[in-house]
Parts: sequence; structure tokens; C-alpha cells
Amino acid sequence: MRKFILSILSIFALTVVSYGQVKVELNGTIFDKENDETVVGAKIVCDKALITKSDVDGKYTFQVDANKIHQLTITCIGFDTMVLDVKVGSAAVTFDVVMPKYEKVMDEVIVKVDAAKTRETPIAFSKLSAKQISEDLGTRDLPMVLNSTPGAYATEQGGGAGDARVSIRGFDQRNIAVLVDGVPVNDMENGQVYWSNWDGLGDITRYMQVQRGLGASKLSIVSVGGTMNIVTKGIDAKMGASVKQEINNYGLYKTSLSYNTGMLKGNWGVTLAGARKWGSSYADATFDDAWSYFLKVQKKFDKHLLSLGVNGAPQSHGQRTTRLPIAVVDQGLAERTGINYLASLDSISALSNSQYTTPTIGARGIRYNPNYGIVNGSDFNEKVNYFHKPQLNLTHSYDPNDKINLTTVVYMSIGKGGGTSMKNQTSRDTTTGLINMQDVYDYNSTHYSTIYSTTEHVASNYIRSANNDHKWVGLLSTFNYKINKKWSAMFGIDARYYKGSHYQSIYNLMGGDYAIDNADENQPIPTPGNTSSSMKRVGDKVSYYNDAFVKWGGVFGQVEYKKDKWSTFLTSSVNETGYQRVDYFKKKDIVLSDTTFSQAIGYGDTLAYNGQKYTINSSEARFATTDQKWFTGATVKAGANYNIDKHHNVFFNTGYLNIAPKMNAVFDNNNRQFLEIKNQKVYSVELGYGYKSKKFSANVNGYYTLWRNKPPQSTYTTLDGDSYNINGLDALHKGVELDFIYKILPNLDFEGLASLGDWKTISGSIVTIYDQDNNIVGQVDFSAKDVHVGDAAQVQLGSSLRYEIIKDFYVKLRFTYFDKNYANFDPVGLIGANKDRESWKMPSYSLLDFNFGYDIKFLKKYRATISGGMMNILNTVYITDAQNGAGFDASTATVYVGMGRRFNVGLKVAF
Amino acid sequence: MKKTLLFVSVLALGTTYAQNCSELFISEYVEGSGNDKALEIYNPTGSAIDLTGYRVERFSNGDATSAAGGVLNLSGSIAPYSTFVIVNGVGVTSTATGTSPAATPALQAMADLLDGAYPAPMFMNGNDAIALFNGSTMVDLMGKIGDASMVSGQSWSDAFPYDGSAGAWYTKDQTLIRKASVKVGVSVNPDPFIVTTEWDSLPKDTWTELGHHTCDCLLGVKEITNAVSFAVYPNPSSNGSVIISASEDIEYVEVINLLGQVVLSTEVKDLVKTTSLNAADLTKGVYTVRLRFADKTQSQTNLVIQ
Repeated sequence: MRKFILSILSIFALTVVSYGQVKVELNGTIFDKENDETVVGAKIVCDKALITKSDVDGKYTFQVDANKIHQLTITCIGFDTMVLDVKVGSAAVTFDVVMPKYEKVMDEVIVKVDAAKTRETPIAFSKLSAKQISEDLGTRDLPMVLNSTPGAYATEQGGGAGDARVSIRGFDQRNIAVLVDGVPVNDMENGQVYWSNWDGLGDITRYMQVQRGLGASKLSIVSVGGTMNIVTKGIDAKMGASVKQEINNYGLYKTSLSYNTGMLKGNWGVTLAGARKWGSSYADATFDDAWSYFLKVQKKFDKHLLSLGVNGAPQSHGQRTTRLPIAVVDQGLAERTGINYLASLDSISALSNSQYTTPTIGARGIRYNPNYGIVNGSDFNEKVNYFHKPQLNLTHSYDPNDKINLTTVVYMSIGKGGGTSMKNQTSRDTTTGLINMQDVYDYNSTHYSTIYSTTEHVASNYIRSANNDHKWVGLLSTFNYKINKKWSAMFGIDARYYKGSHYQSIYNLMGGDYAIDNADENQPIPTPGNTSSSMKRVGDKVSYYNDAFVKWGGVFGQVEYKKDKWSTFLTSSVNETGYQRVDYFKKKDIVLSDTTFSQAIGYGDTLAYNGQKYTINSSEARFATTDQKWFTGATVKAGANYNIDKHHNVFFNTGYLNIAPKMNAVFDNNNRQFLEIKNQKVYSVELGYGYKSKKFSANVNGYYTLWRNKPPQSTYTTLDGDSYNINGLDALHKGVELDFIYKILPNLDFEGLASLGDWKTISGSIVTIYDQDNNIVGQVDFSAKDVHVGDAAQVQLGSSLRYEIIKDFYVKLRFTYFDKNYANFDPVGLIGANKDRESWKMPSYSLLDFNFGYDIKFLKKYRATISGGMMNILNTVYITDAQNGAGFDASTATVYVGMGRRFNVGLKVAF
Repeated sequence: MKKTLLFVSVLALGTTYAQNCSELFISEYVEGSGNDKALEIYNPTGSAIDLTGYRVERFSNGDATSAAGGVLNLSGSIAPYSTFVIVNGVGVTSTATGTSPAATPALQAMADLLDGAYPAPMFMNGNDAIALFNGSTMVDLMGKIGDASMVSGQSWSDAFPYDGSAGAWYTKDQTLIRKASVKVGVSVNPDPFIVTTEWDSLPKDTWTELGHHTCDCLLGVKEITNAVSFAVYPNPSSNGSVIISASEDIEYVEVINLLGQVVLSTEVKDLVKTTSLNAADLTKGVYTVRLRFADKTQSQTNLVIQ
């Protein structure tokens, strides 16, 4: 039929030619803006007269009058309709069209709140599409793809599944805001992000946008290094489903499923996804046992859109959490870093707690995991992380007209889980380098503590779990108002309530029947014949048990002004955070009408006051509870973008953050308030330039960020047991970043990036600590002037070449280089002879990765994708993370070494 | 079954017990501020003992092995009825892995041996068992190895269940002196460890008793309280002439040899706080100088005649 129409058309065209009018060919390809894939079946109308559809390769062809401007109208389900003018001369013209997705149907507006736009939002950012993520990620943790964005440094640390971490511009994860569908997910107490909580997120990501620097984030959140906006899949235009199986060579398996109903009758849509990941990670005994699920249901009513999203990833995985001396890992690496290999092994094995190997046995290799042993013939990893954090989002978006949008998300997450560890470090088998776990079992199953029990065995070492459970509810609401073509305004609120429970519990008694724990000061003290209260079984809480309550309220607003080539914004936010801590194991408070006695009485104690006697059972007694402490933070940001012409643009932004202290800087482990609690202050300016054309686009930007009162890694305690914060550590992070894409040929892309950072701490001072009555209680004399910041590579280079050899078959080679990476250290620990001393600088490293993928279409609507890759092709042995040692050198540093050469393949079938 | 086990352990006790006054033991334990930690080992025999083959091990936090606590191999020798002092060796405050303050120089000056880097025995913090080994034989033990109570407990104490949850803390923030009546170390892991059986306590950061020890191996059974402190100098004395100075009025001075025989005695007529002693006729060796004060209390210390 189509052939018939085509022949009719060509006859018609020929007929026209025969009338003497000169005809030339106008052809091109239709692309999907989101993923650069070709669009099949788009309807293209030329001058409201000629009609065709893009073929299976997205191509179209017309014969049109020469020397004339023609109008093309392109329509396709799921895309915005485009009307474009094409100037045609006397020769054939190729005119490609990039179609933007028709967003209003599928998207919640909330996710767009923080999305930056090229040539409009005046910030530096990178966008990673689902396609890029699925091509590059393999079975790795999501942050690992960020190594191909400038300024980011992601490592897998010990290599356990979900143990990756990322820093941006030298700021660690606690200072990077992570938003999933617009909802902040950083831990409410310390700002951390635990990627194992989000296993499976890579599968359901539609795109991820990384905004660097203070960013354009309008929320009242703390984003010093940057903001990661992860947007999950919405409802596609058409029904679709896929199943995918992945395997890699060290034995990790992953099966994932997804199903999308498309837009159903009555404007309903459902997206479902799930995955199962099992097997082993790269290092020894790092097993993985994970599930993930994702459900999104959307309904559009007239002017309302309602969306319910649920996701979670119950998982348990073995970890490697002990950094090792370099000589223990690899001889070549040790020698390359200037270590006397044998002497180093000799001194390491001489210490009773680091007998990983001996000079005779030598290095253990890069897969060696010092955190496991063998019990009854099976591997037993003492470090197991297990967690499940279901997150539920209910979103409502209301668009009464073109000018107004009101979007509200109510969300809730319930996290439960923890990490295990042996209670006491124990001896190591020097032949194998493994922990003598069987000895612990044998000891526990043969020993008694006779004043407790003469029949049950007591465990003097066991596996405990450090649990971190939480309940979190939040509300995020934004109101957008487009005043006129030039002006628009936005206002929002961000409210959260969080309760975190922290305790240790007995996980495995390792051959014993009970353990003894008296950490709870309110539990009965053992007396002869009555000792059961101290005898703890699996699941019982030991060591510590406390709750943190965090209340957060923020308001934010923004004004935008756009005119011609200008687009500018001014945004501001204020937030108020309240912290309170309750300790269930400390002595109880006695609350009386005229006074409160804090942590006054434990079990068996009596407090006499005004002729009354109180015990822990009195109605006036309550668990040790701190006052509620409130802190205020604020942000102001402004920026402007100017589009010089259709190729060039320049931008500028500046910002000020005033950051309230985190929970762990407010209350100490004794349920007492820290001395010297002060806000952090961050000042930043940034300049950028962008170039965009069909074949080549590039961005260059420079930033200058001054961080005043950066929290150091440790806190101090006076002789009286008062904890205090060290204030006055300043850091200056400046640098330039570059990224470009050069489409050399339609099927050959070359991408490159560079980030040159200069990140240093710049202060040194004698910090004097005062108590509430202004008495001097402590002094810290440190100096960290001109000392490079640790724990992130300050120089990064990268490039990739993607070549589509034949249609639907691509290969991709990626090169990454990191340098100027200093070992992690605590700047306020630079005292005495170590003042202003640089931590150990790790050797630079480069990696070469290879990926391929091949799409096969079969039975008309099915598509099979075979994809795979080889990571670290050259099998480079390299250090990703290091902790500075006493000698500030390679032989005293302890490190994580990156994974060696490895392969992964996957097969996906979809329709 | 339990009876059998008990029987077996009794047998074990029998075979590992050393004879009284025949083997080294721990005579003092200093668990002070910061890294001010020290241990004194006493030679209760009449002969010098070569320390080669001896070692100190620390079993931290109820652990059954010393992997986390550290091992210190000893060297040198201990003269008869003399002591050997080990002190924490941290010389410069370090912040590389948490703050580790320098030990007080005055304490380190009293050491015969400074301990090594962490982990080492002299990083004990109150809930660690400290054992003295001679080759494969444990010759003394302060605390209990693998004490499940110490996994969370911070100190052994003087009341049931002896793990710090009741009673006064003894092994944390204290100086402990081995009772003079103890003549042999503990060679079998106790269950439970009751600290007051063999140890007396002095306040935190007391080092005055470090470097000398009073033991009944030297004296036979006598009640000496050492309530009043005094000094004998020079000590060692090369010409036998020494000055004795006390904080109370001295009533009587006697010098006792290793056999427990009084070889010299003087009644101090004027009840003065300082007196002298001419011991030029005494042969070279170690003696005990015992003082009786006006309030009838007695104190004693060692005197070496060279």
C-alpha cells in the first residue's frame, strides 16, 4: 500500500517536473530529543500539501521546489508538534529534526522544579539519560556513572554492592543534595546517602541531572557540592514491557522486569518494575542478596494529575570495610608508591591486630577481604549490611490554566536495618589471612560464666548489629505563577518530621547461648541468683539505644525574569531545624514542677528532693531527654544567562548558604549538648560559557567556593566529659570544568571532559573552647593552611568514543583519568609537628572501559538488546580511597583498591 | 559431665601452679589519665631473673585473644626482690587515628621499658585482662580472659557481679597494688574475677609506689600498712651510710636481711622525722628498712647496699 502511495507520489512529482518547475530532494531524520534515538512513524507534512511518515530508520524524503522556503509540520504521538521553516536552495537538503517529548501528559510538574535547561538555567550541569545509564552502568552502583561527568569522583570503596560513594567538586555526599522525583533523600541526621537503600534505582531512572555547585535548587536544602536530581520512569505513551538478565564474570546475577501500561482509558497509567540481584561482588565474601520494586500509578483528571509512587529495595550484602596497608594488597602497587615491600610487611605482621599476611606469604591480592573467616566450612563475613527503606510518594499537580501550577508531594519512608560486625576484633590465621572465627565458636560453645549460668554457654565475642531505623514523613509543595511572558514567580514549603532509632542488637551469638550486657542503666543490676536481666539473646538491644527527633520547616521562593536573550533568577529560602534526643540506656530524668534533674537516677537509685523520694519507677521519671534545640539556616542565590546568538551563551551565578548544624554536632553520645555549636557559611561565584551546534557542543565553567566553618571529622571531649565542636576550619574550592560532545559522523560521537580543581583548607588557629559560663575548658592549636582537601581526586580527565558500526550496533570506549587525590584526613588533627602538613598523595590512575550493545527487532514489535562491557580493560591496579596514616606516607596509609578487569553481559527483551 | 569438667580443671590447676615466691608476678597496675598507663612486675625470688621469653599480653574488652590488645615481649632482667616497670610509650600526641595523647614524661622516666605503638598492652583502659607469660605458661593474670561481662562493662568492681554494674570500680581510673600477702601469680583464668581478693587500690594517677613492692616473700608474715611514707637516700648506698626521712616522728628503725633476720636496729630517742643509719658493716645485697612511728604504725621499703 505504501509503495503504491509512493509511486503515485513520484508520478505526481514527475508530472510536476514535466511542467518545468525545478525540484530538489529534501530529506532528513527525526530524532527523539531525550535519547537521540530515531523516531519511527512520525507524520511529516510539507507546505500543508505533501505528506509522508518517517520510515524504520526515522528517515523522510520529499521532492520540493528549489529556491524556496518550505514549512514542515511534524506530529507524532508522545511528542510536541513541531512547525519548522526550511530554506531550500538549488541542491538537495538534509534537514534533521529533534522532537521533544510531549511532557504534560506523562510528567509530574514537581520533577521539573529543579531541572535545569540548557542555554537558560545559569548553572553548570550534566544530564544522563536512561539510555546512557543502561549503556554504561552494568551491574554497578548508580553513582559510578558520574565519573563521566566533570567534577565528580565516585568510588566503590570496599566493593560491596551499594557501598559506592560520590563527591562533587571535592564535597562529600553529605554536602550533595540527592533528590529522587524532587523529594530530598539525604539522611535527616547527618546528610549521608546510602546507595544500598536505593539498589534498583538505576533500572527505574528516566534521567539523572547533576547540577554542580550551589546549584539552582530552589528547595531549602543543603547542596554545597551539587544536586543530583534523579527522575524515575513515568507513564510512557505506549504500552511496553521488558525483561532483562545480566551476568558478570565474578558471579553477580541480576534479573529485572518492567511493565508499563501506557495511557489507559480514563487517563490512567501504571508503571511497574522489579529486580532481583544475587551472587557475589568483586571482593571475597561480599555476597549480594537484593530485591527491588517500583510501582507508579498515575491518573489525570481534567486539570489535575494524581500520582502514587512506591519503591524499595530489601537487601543484604557482605561488605569489605577495612582499608588495608598497600603492601598487604599488591607488591607492584607497593613498590610503585615507594614502599619497601618486605620491610612494610614485616612491621605490619608484627602488630597483633594487623596480621593479614607475613613477608614470606606476601601480598594477598586485590580481592582479599580481611572482614571474613570460615565457620564450619563456610565463608562467614562479619560485615553484613541489611536494610529496607520503602518510600511512598503521593503527588498531586493542579494546572487550572497556563499561568498557574500547584504541585504537592506527601511522602513517607520507613527504614529498617543495620550493619553487623564482630563485637571484638579477634586473632587472624596468618596462613590464610582470615579471621579465626571458628576459634570464637569453639570458645563460646565451651565456656561458662558461672555466676550467670552453669548450664548455658556465654559468648564473650559475638556478631552485633548497629541498627539505624527511621520513620520519615514530609510534605513538599510548590506554587508556580507565570505573571506574564517575562516574569514568573514560585513559592514553596518543605516540611519534614523524622525519628531515627539507633541501637546495637545481638545478631549472632557465634556458638554461645547468651551474652552479658549492662549498658542499660535502668535495667536491674544482677544479684546472686537473679542475673537474667543482664543475659542478652539474639535480637536484644545492647550497648546503646537512643532516638533522634528532627523537625524541619522550610520556605522557598523564586523570581525569574526572561527577555529575549536574557534569563535570570533570584531565589531565597529559610529553614528551621529542631533536634531532640532521647536516650533509653542512660539514667532517667526526674521532672518536677519547679526543676528537672537530668540523668539523675538509674536502677536502684533514689533521689530525695523537698522531702520527697523519687526512683526510676516514679511518675516523675522519664527517659533521659534533651531540650529541643532549634537552628536557622538560609540560602540566597542569583544567576543570569545570556544567549549571545544561537550558538554561544554565557552565564553567571552566585550564592550564599547559611547551614544549620547537623544532629551529630548538636548532641553527643552521652545525651548532652555540644559546646560551641555554630552554623556553616558558604559563598560561591561561578562563570560559564556554552557553545552549541548540531555537530559540536561544549561547556566551560569556573567556580570559586569559600566554605567557612567546615565541620571537622572529629569532635573533642574535655576532662569533664563535655563534648565540643571545633569551629574555624575554612576551605576554598576553586576550579574549572569542561565538557564537550563532537558528533564527528552521524554514527560516531566523541565526548570529552576535564575538571581541574584546587581544593584546599586555608585556616589555622588556636581554637579556645568556652563552657556556658565562659570558662575556658579546652584549646586546640591546629593549622591546615594551604593543605589540599582529601578524599576526592582534584584532577579528572575523560573521554569516550561511541561508534555505531552498523545500525543498532554500537561500541563505546571510555577513558578516565584521576590525579591529585589526597588521602582522607582530619584537618584539625594537624597539630604540633604536623601543622600544615599535606596528607599522602595517592598515585594517579587511568582506566579504560569498553561497552557494546546490539538491538535486534523481531516479530515486528519485539526488540532484543544484547549489551555488555569490559571494565578496566588493562587490569590496572589502582587506589581509589585512602586514609592518611601516622607517617603521612604510602607505608602508613590504608587503602581501598579498585576492581580489576571484569566483564558483564546482559540480554533484554522488550516490546 | 560438669563434675568431670571441674575435676579436669582442678587437675589443670595442680599442674600449672607455681610454687610461692618462685616466679614473677604483676605487683602494680596504673590506669591513669590519658595514656598514663604502667605495669610493675615483681621478682619475689632471691635470684635475678632473665626476662627473655617473658611477655605481657592484653585481652581487651572481654576478648579471648590478645589480637586487639597487643603483646609486649620483655627483655633485660629483674634483680631479686626488685621490680621492673613498663610504661606506655606514646611520646608525642598523635591525632592520626583519633587522639592519642603523649604519656606524662615523669611517668615514662620511671620506666625500665617503654611499650610500643598501638595495639600494645599499655593501652589498657579498665576492662582489659593483663597477663604475664613465661613462654607458653601464663604465670600471672590481672582480670579475666574472655570475660563476657567486659564486652560492655568498663571496669571490674568490688561487689557482685564484680563487673562494674555494682560496687566501686577498681581497674579503671585507679592504681592497684598487689597485696603483700600475694606470693604467686594467678595462672588459671578466674571465674568470676574478684579484684579485691588480691589487689588494693590507690587514687587515680598515683605513681609513688611504682618501682618498689612490698611482699611477704621477703619478710615472712608481718602486718605492715605503709600508711606513712618515708624516704631512704642514697639508695642504693655504696658506703652503708643512709639518711631516713619521714613525714611522721620515727620511733624505731630496723634493717632486715633476705632471710628475715634483723641485722641492725635503732631506737630513735628524740622522736625526730629525720635520722641516719650506719650500715657500713652490712654485706652487699638487698635489705628491708622498716620504721615504726610514734603512732605505732609501721612502714617499710627496700635498701640496696652496694
